[in-house]
Parts: sequence; C-alpha cells; structure tokens
Amino acid sequence: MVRRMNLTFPNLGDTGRVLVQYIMESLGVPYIPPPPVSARTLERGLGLSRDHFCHPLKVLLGDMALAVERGATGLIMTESDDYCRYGFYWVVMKEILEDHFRRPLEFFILSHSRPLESFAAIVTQIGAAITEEAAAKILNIATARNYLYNESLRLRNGLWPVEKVKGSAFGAFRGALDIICSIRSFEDAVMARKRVRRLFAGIDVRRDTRPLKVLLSGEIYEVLEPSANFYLESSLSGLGVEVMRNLTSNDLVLFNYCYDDETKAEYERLSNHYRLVCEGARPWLGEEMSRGDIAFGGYGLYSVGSLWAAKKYECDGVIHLQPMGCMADTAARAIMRVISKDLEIPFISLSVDDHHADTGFLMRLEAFVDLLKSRRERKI
Amino acid sequence: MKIGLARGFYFYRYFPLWSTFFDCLGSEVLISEPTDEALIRFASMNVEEELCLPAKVYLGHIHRLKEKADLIFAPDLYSLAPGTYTCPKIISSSRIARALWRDLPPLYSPAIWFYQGDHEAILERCALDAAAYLGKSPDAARGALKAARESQRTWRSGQVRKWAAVTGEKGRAREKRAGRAKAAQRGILALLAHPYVTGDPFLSRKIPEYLQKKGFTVLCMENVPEEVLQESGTRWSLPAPVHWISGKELLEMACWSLHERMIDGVIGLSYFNCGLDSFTEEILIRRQKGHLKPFLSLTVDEHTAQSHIWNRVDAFLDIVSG
Repeated sequence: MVRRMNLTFPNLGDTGRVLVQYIMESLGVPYIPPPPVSARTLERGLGLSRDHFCHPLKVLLGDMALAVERGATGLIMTESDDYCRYGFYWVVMKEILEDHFRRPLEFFILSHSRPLESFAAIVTQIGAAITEEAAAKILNIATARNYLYNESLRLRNGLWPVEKVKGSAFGAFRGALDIICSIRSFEDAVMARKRVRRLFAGIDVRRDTRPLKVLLSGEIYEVLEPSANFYLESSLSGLGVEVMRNLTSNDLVLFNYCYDDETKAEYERLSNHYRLVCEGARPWLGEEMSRGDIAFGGYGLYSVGSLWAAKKYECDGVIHLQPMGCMADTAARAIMRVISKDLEIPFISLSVDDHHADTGFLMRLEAFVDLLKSRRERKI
Repeated sequence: MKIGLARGFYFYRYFPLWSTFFDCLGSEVLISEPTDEALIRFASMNVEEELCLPAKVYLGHIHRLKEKADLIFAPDLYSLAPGTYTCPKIISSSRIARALWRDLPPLYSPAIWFYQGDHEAILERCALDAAAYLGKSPDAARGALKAARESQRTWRSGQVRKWAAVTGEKGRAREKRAGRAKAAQRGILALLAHPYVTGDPFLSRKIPEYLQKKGFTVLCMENVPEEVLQESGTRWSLPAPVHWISGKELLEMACWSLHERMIDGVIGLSYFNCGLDSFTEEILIRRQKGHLKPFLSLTVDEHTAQSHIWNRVDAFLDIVSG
C-alpha cells in the first residue's frame, strides 16, 4: 500500500518532467510538482534564506515552500558526499521549512554515493509494493528518457541559430519533449528516438553561415535551469550563437555515481566529454585530483577542464556561470582565468545571485559575443 | 634546504607538527611573516576576488615565500578527521597558487586523507613519503615524526590549559574555582570562528585582545578539549552530521557555550563568502533562540577600519555585563 502523502521535488530544468514524474507515476505515488521557477519562487525563497546562501538553495527553498503550500507533505532531495554545500542542502532546508511551517516534513534522500540502495530505501519508505526487477526497469527507462532528452537538447541548440523559420527548432524541441514524456517501455524508447530525429530533420536551416559556438560551463544548477541563467541559450541563439552545454543531466546522474574504479572506467568509455575534461584538468590539478570523482568539490573538475574541451570542440569562447560565493567554482574560476590565457580561448565568468533584472547580465554577454565575432573576422 | 610554511589555514593548528618534523629532518624551516595590510592589499589585487579573505591571505603567504624558500610545503588537506572534509577552497589552494604564479619554488603537496580514520598509519606513510622526497632515510623520518608529535601534543595541552584555568578541575572544585575566576573577571566569552581566523591576529580583527583589555576572558575553539566539544555536540541532533571539520567543531563549540553556565556571551566571527559559515550560522541562529544568552554575529571582509567592529562589540559587552 502506498502511503497517503503528496511528494514534491525541486525544479531543475526539465528533469522533473522527464525523470522524476515518470518514476513517481510508475511507483503509483501522488505528487505535487512545484510551479515553474519564476520571480515569485525566488522571492519566496529569499524570505526564507540568508544572504550568503548560494543561489540554487535560495530557489530550491522557494520551490519547496510553494509546493508545501499546495499540499505536499514529503520532499524528495538528492544528497552528495561532497566537499561543497550541496550535500548539506536538505538538512538546512528541513531546519528552515519545519520552522517556517511549524510542522514536521518528511524528507526522502536520494544519495549520490549509494544511488540504488537509497532508491530502494525510498521505495520501501513510501510503501510502494514493487519487485526489484520492476524497480530496476523503472530506473533503466528513466535513464533512456534522460539520454534522449539530452540528445534533443543538443540538436535544438545546434539548429536554433541557423533555423530559417524563427521558432521552428524550439517548436521541435517542445514536440520532442512530449514524445519523450510518453515513453513507458523500451519499445517506446526505440520508436521515440526515431520520431525525435525525424522531427529535428524536418527543420529548414541556413547552410551559408557557420554560427559562433560557445561552451556553457560552470555550476550545474546555473547551466541546467534556464530561469537561473535568464534563458541564456535562447537569447544567444537569437544572436546567432550556438551554445553547447558543458554539463547535462546525464552527467548529473552518472558523474556522481562514479565512486569505484569500475563505474568510472565505464563512464569514461561512455562519455567522450568527460574524458576530455579530465585530460584538460590534468596539467592544472595534477594526476590525483583530475583522476575522477569529485576533485576539489562540486563540479570544479568539469569547470577547470571545460576550456580544454572547448578548444577541442573548436568553440569560439567559454561562458562560465556560478552562483555568487560557490565554494568549488570560485576556486575553479581562479584557475580558469589562467588557463584561458594559456589556451588563448576567450572566457567570461558571471556570478548569479538573487537579482531579477536580466539586462546587465545579457548586455555583458552581448559584448562578449561582439568580441568573439570580431575575433573570428580577424582570423579569417 | 629551506622549507617554507605559509602562515594560513590549518598552519595555525598544525605548525608545531609541521615545523618540528622538517626541523628534525635537518631542513631549515622558514615561516612567512605575519599577515599585515600590505599582504591584504596584494592578495585582494592579485587573487580571484570572490574567494574568502582567509583563502586570499593563504595564497598571499605562499607568494611571500617565493624568493626565500627552496621548497614550499602546501599540503592538500582533504580530510583532517574521520567523517569530515575541509572545504573546496582549502583543498584547491595549492593548485590556485601554482596556476597564478608560475615562478614559485616547487610546492610539495601531499594529499592528507583521514576520512576513514587510521591516523597513525597514514601519518607515518606521509612522513616516510616526505623523507623520501627530501632524500632522507625512513629511520630519520620516524624519529622526526615522533618528536613532531610530541611538540604538537605539548602545544595542544598549552592551549587547553586556558580552559582548565577557567573551569577548574572537577566537581565541587570546579564550581568554586569557576566562581573565583569569575569574580576576578568581568565575564567569560566564547569566540566562534575558524581556527585560522582566531589564530591570525590580523584576521581575528584584534577582537580577543580587545575583549581581554576590557577585562573579559575569551575561549576559542582551540582552548576547549575535543572530548568536551564532542560530548556537547550530541545534544543538538541534526538529521545528518556536518561534513566540514570546522563547521562541525563550530556547532559543537556553539552548543557547548550555550549550555555551559559559566559562559556569559557568544561572539560569532565569520568571513564574507565563507560557504560553510552561511549554513552553520543558519542552524546556530535557529537553535540559540531558546537560550537566553547574548549572541553577536559579525561578518567581516577585507576592510581594515576597526572602529565599527569595536562599536558593535562594545554594545554587545554592555548587554553581557548589564
């Protein structure tokens, strides 16, 4: 018997729709998703947090508070065994939200270091009666959805700056998202992949231009959640720039699970990008720190290695986003500034905090894009 | 060979160990000069602006050793106690220094990982590695390690003596002496700050000296024995243990000083942009509401003006003695 409660989970791009809602539905658990991140979410979160909290936590607190107001009684959070603040988010959230709502809230923690065990524990806690095979199948299909989602993101970002009809790439992406969210079995997944590819193949593109290409690197929340970076991918595409993501939700799922050498080797085999990132970080972090798991915390390893990866992908520049005061990325940024001079790759780093206005943010990016344009023209 | 030690971060907790060890191995130990305004200025101009000041200061100290030392000892302190980590800025500091200044003398950065416990074996392995790196024999390393640990113990017991003097020994004697000690003083205050903040007179903003001048006794984290802290830490049950060493110790110290009768007030001193302080302070402020004990939370940055800090401390002292 599934217990009577409504679960909720924080927003992170489309991962809620693609991954979490599917898992909940398969387990037969009622859920209340938080409303999409907006100025109201942030305002709600700011009322509950200290100034010095990092930006993702401020938004997450707003998400959770709004969901609890809508009737959620249980919260799903992830936790990592990490040096940065992320692993301790849920403890602080529990402390703040219980104090605020004056009632106990149940937290279900999906641990990055013990993903399967903690998932099984959550399933028993919820009271969903499913076999181990069924649980494994749910996770596998979720992974398949995640892969296809990231593939369509990549396709969208590639086509966005060169589309002939404005909005066609984004429209195709919306269609792809619907297809992905209807995947319920492995057969569906195979069909969906074909349909998604067909959808993107039907977009008319200009073949005469080669758009500028930038790598979007930095802290994972700022890269994955479009509202956190003021819909940067959309605005840059409007300027004719292709944005590649340094981190995807695949990395979120896989990178954190690399706690033994075997899975790490498997991940390296699967992810060409991860291999490049480690290769790029090695001269700067040394053999031991760039070998894998968490380097010096958070996604610092990815950030440090991203410039080398950008060079290999022939990107014109790197945009680095970090929440103001991020423990790991601040340190990474100090090293990245030096690497960018060394590899001669233009680099801009922006700190995101609880500001609402996007003008200053986008203006700096536009100036950066102008610089990239003139640099390319000079080269040609 | 001159081995440089940068005066920052956990140097303030482990300098007897480190300096005695290298001294006994026959190297000359060179400690960078104390923090001053010139260093703060240099560090704020040359190091990534969003790092916390203690990190900038540590990097500045490494830079100070540039022309003087043949080798700089800058260990990668991942984990200093079982079940805890330090912090990303501490872990990555040697890498940042290397990236920023190419002309530094070689940095010797062994990885320190006490997460799983087993202190003895790991410490010995580190000592042997260091000796091999310097071209010394394993026997010399073991001897040096023994002497180093002895001096670390002596230093540590010296630190704890202040606590013993304040609290007395045990039982009745403790009450009595505490009473006497209190009569002679205006009060006893607990200063909650990272060991690298209280250890550095510049970073601690001369607050301990100022309080002493005003007739108060100040107890820092280093002055209280670990067992006492650990015991009191269990009183506040958190759903998960704090995984940063100084965050954990700060909360334990806060819990101890809020419950301990003889402590008259608590001052929290943290640096702007310290990630873990933002979390531990949130918990602390929520938990201290039930205790009727004066509590002052100060957040400072690289500004060097002192008067506004003293203003706030003075106002706080009025509450404590009023």
